[in-house]
Amino acid sequence: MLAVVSVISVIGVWFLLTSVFRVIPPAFLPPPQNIVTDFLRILGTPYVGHTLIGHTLVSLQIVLGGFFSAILIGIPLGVLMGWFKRIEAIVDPLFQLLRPIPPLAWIPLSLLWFGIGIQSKIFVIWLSAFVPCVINSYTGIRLTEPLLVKAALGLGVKNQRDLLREVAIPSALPIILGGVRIGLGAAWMTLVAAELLASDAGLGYMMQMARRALEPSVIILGMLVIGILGALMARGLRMLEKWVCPWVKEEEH
Amino acid sequence: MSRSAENFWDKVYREKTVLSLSSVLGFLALWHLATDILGLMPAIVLPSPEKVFFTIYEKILAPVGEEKLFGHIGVSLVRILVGVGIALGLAIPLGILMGWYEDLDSMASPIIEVLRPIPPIAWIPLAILWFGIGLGSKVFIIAIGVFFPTLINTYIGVKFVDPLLIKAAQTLGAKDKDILWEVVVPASVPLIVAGVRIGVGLGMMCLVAAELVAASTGLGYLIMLGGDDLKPELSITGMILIGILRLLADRVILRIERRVIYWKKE
Repeated sequence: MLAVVSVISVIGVWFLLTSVFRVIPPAFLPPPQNIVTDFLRILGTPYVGHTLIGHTLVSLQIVLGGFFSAILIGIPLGVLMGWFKRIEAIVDPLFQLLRPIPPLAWIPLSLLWFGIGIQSKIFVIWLSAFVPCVINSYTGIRLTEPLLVKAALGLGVKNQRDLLREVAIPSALPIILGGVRIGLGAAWMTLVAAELLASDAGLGYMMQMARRALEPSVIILGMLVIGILGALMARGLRMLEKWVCPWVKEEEH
Repeated sequence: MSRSAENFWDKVYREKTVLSLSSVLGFLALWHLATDILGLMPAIVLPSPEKVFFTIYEKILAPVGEEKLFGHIGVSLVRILVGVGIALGLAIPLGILMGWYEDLDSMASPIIEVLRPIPPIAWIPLAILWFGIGLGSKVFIIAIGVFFPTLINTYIGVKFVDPLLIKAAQTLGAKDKDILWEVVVPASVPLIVAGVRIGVGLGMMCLVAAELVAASTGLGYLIMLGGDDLKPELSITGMILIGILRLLADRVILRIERRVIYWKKE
């Protein structure tokens, strides 16, 4: 009850300040109804090249491309690093050297290497989601309960491959999926940064153009779309998590 | 442990060290080979490792843009410190109050849940529109990045304090206010610090993003300038420095944590 009242009152105050008393100029913060009218306007007619749906699809394509390739490469690499000491010894130091650099900081180099097309953005997003995928898969495998391994050995599991496939990976799965979720968040952040910096389509580009045109309602619209898509994808991952590893109790947040 | 077992582990560790060292050296050697010796990569695509090293050395004395290297580092540091300071000053008290007072929780939570999924970097265009391209917009974005993880961890820390601790304090006759300040807040410090650590990491990312998009000083600006001027060694310099800064920040927070939660043994 209080929740509804509080959201409504925030929007109410926002409306009053911008539309009724006009304390805040619309170029600074547009009234809430402007965002709705702009939403309807951009939904049908193109804004800086595409409709809202067009920009959203461009962004989604880049995020999903980078994100899935990060999962495909990152999880196997992390699992191998966690399982084989030699691979860990070779890959881990390199990984530790590159890890502290925020993936966003690669954007200018990536532009230099791959041009301002879709590849440079996919590369940076891949990098940002890759790191948490590797770290969590690696940690998950390393944290495999030794008792489980002993039990499996006692029950007659003979070769390493079965041990990895039947014991270590399933027990690491919740942690691995946690890494995938962190990677998704990082992917969205990096996407926005990459599109703000250099692109000719996408939600970040739309927001950047709206800033130049002094249309804050379109900026806010872009923020809302990004927030909603990110939240929906995170929720999808959580449902997948519940389905894949039903034995894990739900954690807070 | 028997002697042969000791030898065995010695061998394993020695092998690991050798492999790790040779992997880093091999990486540098390959880089050197590809750029300087075989010339597979032109210097405007990937500069040689020596070139990066000399760039760092040279820019300590020679200015890049408005500042020398340490000037850029200093500007970035000021931005991040102000942003972190503002965010902590708001997020920790709000988190404590939200975790303690249920009415405030049910009023503030829905608004926070609406704002939280928006990546802090998506605030950049609005921040520039509101605060211009000066210190204000950068501090605002960094503060948003630090604010949410800190707020959420503080809130969870306060909300899920061991009920036994609260009951014990009540039995001993403590008042509500004393329980909050003497029991609940100290008990939630580890989670708060963990939130600050996540937040500062995110804040550094926001710093870089804000400086990439609009700045004429700072490490993010160096990284951007390197790309624009086809001087990738400048970008790599900025990337290395921001990496070092991030590691240092993490270390400082861990040290503070150890001092604040002196009762918690590792």
